[in-house]
Amino acid sequence: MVLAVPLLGVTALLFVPSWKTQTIRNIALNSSLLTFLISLLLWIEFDSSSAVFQYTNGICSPSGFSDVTLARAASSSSFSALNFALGVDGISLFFIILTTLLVPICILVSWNNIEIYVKEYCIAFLVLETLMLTVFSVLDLLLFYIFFESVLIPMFIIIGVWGSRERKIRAAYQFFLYTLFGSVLMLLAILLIYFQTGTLDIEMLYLSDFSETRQCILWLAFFASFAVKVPMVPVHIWLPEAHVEAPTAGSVILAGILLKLGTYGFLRFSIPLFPYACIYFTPLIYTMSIIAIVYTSCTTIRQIDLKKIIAYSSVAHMNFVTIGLFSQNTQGIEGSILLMISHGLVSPALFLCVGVLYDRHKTRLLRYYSGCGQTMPLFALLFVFFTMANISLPGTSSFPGEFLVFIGAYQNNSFVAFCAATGMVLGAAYALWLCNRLVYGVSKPDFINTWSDLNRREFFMFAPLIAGILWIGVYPEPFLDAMHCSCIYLLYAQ
Amino acid sequence: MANILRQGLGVARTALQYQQRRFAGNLPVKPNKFVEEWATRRELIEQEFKWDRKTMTQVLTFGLLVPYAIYSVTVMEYEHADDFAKRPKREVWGGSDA
Repeated sequence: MVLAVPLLGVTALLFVPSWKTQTIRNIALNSSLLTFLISLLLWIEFDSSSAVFQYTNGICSPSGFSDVTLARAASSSSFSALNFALGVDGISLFFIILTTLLVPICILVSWNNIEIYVKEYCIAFLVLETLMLTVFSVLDLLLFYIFFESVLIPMFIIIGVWGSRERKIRAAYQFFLYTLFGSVLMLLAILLIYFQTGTLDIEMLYLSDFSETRQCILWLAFFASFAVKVPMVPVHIWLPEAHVEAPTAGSVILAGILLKLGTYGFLRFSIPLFPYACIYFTPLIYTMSIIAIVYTSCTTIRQIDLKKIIAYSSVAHMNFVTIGLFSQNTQGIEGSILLMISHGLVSPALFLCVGVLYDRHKTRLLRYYSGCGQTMPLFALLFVFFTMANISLPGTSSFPGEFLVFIGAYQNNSFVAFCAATGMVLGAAYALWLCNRLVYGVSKPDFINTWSDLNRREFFMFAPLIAGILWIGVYPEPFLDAMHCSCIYLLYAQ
Repeated sequence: MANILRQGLGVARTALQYQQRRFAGNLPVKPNKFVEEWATRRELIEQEFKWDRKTMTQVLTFGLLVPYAIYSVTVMEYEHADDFAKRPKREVWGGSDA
């Protein structure tokens, strides 16, 4: 049902003439809002005391491990075992809700500033939503790979067609080629897994065993694909470029969802399938993550492009997530998931702030902005709030996530926890510098007549993100409860 | 042929200048020449980058030595906390025992 609604929206859009832009936007917005409401039903009906995949047969009929898995196992002797099975567990639940939350916001943010190919734009976003939801809910490794890669196509089109400048084509190609190159190795690894186990069903694979050498080879192949998506240094180059050239809605989806595909892949496949290799390669992951956190935080300090600042800070935050994931304990993994959800709210909100400024003045260079607090007080208030959430101020959503990640990392390796903590200090440095330059300072007299504060549409774009950030920051218990059993199962399945 | 080349160069130059001017957008401020040039240079960093003694040293230091040092300390930290090798628990800043 969650997958069907955006597709129904796409079908409806195909019958609307291209010149009826208002109707097109309304259909896209309503179908994405309906998808969001249905995804909330998933959470309401979700049984958090169970670690198995739920909703495998229908939206309100949680199904146990036995019937679905055995039915699939029975047909796994040939390649026809590749079936389109879907399911939701405590890990994928929040990524699904995050996806359905962000897509209506993307359509709202483009309400006025996308004027060409509106119909194609809305279709691209609804197709992208369907693909992302499928990635998070599919229970077959090869289908995961197919949808994981197919997400690139609408995103490539969104950057290449509705991007802001001439460099958008280059950025789109860079984004496409980087991610595709890593994924080739993953496809080979999937074939190797299939020829050893005879199945690609995720639940069956959790029960299979690989030799230590084979685990290392397979882990490296998966790592090549997921590390690009996270992104980890040195394969992060595509991200700032793609963010800068993408339209605001493209940046929102990139930061909010696409970056999580890599860490979700680690969580869903690398950690439970290759436990020995995970322990073996943990120092490598930690080294890369520490370098990424310190390097990108330092790089952020010297950026003057607003989008690049947020893009580089996203890289640093996503590498906090990898540290938590590979700490191999419950606190670390739950903290990582919470931090991903938080980043999926905070980073899109900051990109929306940049979009608000860019819509008015067509520049993202920090040098040209000053004194927004005097001319755009509501915007300034929200910008300061989101920046504080970005540096994990207690009471905001990033704090419980980062705190749990540090607990997990410290239990595993105190040196890594110490180095990662320097990222928080550097994060505070660039965030406060950014706030100081943008919000405070002297407002130039010419600006007063031309600067306008947030309108109602823009405020409603931010409202759900503010609510989410405060909710997770003040009371993260419902989120942690829902994911706890799945995280335990993930860690101790083998 | 020379004319075509000259025209092509002219178009490319205009495109570059156009891109440089766009950094300021339509804000009511005078574009800062140095900021515009610096932002352009940062975007075209792959064309500006040159291999010389200084950059080579930087690449070796931050690309090999620093990662190796971090990796070594991380592994050392694991070895210090290895329960299976019967190593005692490390006490950080005096430990937590009374």
